[in-house]
Amino acid sequence: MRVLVTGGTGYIGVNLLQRFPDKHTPVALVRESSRTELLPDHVETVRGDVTEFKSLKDAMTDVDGVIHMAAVNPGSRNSPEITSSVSASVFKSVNVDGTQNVFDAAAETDVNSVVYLGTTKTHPAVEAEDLSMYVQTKGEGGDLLKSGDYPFDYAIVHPTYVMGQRDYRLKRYEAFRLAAANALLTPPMYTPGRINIVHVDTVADSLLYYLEKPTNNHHMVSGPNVNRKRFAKLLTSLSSQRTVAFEIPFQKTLLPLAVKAIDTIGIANVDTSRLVLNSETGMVPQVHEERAPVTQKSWQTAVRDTWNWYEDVKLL
Amino acid sequence: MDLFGSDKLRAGVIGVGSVATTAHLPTYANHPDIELAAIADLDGQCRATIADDFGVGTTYESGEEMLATEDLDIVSICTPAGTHRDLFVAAAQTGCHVYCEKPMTTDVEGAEAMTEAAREANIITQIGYTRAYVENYRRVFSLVENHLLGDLKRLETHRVRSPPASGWNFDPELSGGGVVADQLGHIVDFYLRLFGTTPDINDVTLERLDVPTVEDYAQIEFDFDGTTVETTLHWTPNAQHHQNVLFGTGGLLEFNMDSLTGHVQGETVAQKYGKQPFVDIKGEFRAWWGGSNDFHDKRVLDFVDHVLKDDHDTIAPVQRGLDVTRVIAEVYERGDVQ
Repeated sequence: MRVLVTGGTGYIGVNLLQRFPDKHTPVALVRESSRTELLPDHVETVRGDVTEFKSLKDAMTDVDGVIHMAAVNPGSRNSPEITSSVSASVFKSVNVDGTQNVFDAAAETDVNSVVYLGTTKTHPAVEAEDLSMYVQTKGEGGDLLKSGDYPFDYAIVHPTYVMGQRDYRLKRYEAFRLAAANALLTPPMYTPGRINIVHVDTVADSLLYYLEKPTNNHHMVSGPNVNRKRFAKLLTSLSSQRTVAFEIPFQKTLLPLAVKAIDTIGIANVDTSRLVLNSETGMVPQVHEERAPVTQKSWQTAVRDTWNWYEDVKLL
Repeated sequence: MDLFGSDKLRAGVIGVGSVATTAHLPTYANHPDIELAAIADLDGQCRATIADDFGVGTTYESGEEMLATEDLDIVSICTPAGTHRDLFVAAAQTGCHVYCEKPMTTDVEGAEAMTEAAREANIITQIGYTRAYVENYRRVFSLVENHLLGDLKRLETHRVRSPPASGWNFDPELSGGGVVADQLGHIVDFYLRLFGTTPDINDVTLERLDVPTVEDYAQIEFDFDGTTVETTLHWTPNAQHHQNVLFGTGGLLEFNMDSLTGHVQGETVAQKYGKQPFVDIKGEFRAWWGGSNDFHDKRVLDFVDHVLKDDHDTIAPVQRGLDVTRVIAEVYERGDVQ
């Protein structure tokens, strides 16, 4: 199957292209500003932009499948706009209108399978409030598939918090660096709460699985919901300087009080209003077990592979 | 290998001043596969002291005589740059593998003669550039190779050190020049590794400020395939400062032999000797324990490893030295010393 991949230079994209099986031929849609040096050497590229319908239609010539991941994401640092200045109109033009272009171009060509990358919070089984502009527009992109009467089959894949090798934009680096750079790790240096981590290889394999077997439905790709302290402890076990993750007793009540006290008497050297004292990242309903039948790499492997990659490129 | 069946390589050192005692002599003396067979130095007292310190049985006043007499497998040349060419060629003619300290020599013709002598004798060679063994520089190379720093836009290098203690640096016949001959070799070697290409030289200023015989201040602007690289060098009494600022579209790194700081892809980088701090409170306070630079040990050990494996592809063979020498020669040609 010849497969057009949008967002191929993103975190999931570079790993997906590395894992493409020989039976399929990926073609990466790239813009002039795309970091094509991140793509595997053998991958074919085609110039185009999701905001330009004709470029998409041209790129889909002789293409059988599409994996659509390209999006403006303030966290991805791959958009020309600086995080804080990404306006609502940019989100809409790329994440919604651009997605509409991808689906319309696929409908007008011979594409028979489309996989769309969603987010955790846009899965129907996940209850979420206060959606960011990114999540809202990614959700609207996915809704187009369900409401449109397209001639191809599709699947919407919702990964939780992705980790693994080749994080070229260092989206996960900060927590790893803090664990490597502090012999004693205590809240709020690691954030209490829970996190759901999934290996980027599992996400990539799931995208490929649903490309071959589109179900016209949503699919979560997740790991277990784990306490962030377990995540912090795993990080500290990887550190070479015998780092310890220490839990403050009664942290849920004491920590906010302590931070407030420090702030009140004015000795805080950081902006305490920005401290996150409890965080739920990528959480999914625990009953949600629906997963693609691909090899599930554990969340610990995901963390270790991320750490090892940062070490390999000499950031840790 | 000697006639009595020992498998050890016989090593000699010519010129037993500070770089020999820091890097070469301890490595040879402590290496299980090396016998430190002989040393040579013009200074008799220095010879005796060093022979005693490192347990060397045979000493020579003349390096040439040592090479002709001893059946050496390896020799380190640690004498003033103006003597390197003749010693190197003599060593090559005996089939001896050569580690030659920087500067490789004082002119391009000499560097070409040394390169040709090494090729004819098929010996393993290394010139004493250090940066590729310094952990911070290795990390910078890795971040660049892994595309984390994006496109390189600009690099500034500032190197200030006390005037050398040895008098020969101030004699242009022996040194080839002042602060440029003294320091630019390491720096150009680093640039060639980083950019993978030879530079155009846009502008050179060389000045004699406090030293009458050679330049003690230099500023040079290179162009590496469109990336501007500015280099400032000065011999400042009692000073020691070293700074590189590398700007890429993916981040900015400020580094020297000890520390590496900055940001990459919007994330903080703060390391010393390749190590993370043991405490880092939101960047407001950082502290490290341990860590040191061990590049002198690494570079001579690495050369010995190459000789033991009969591997000619050392980190800086004579051809690299020739490339560096050509750049330094062009700097001198372009900059009339004021």
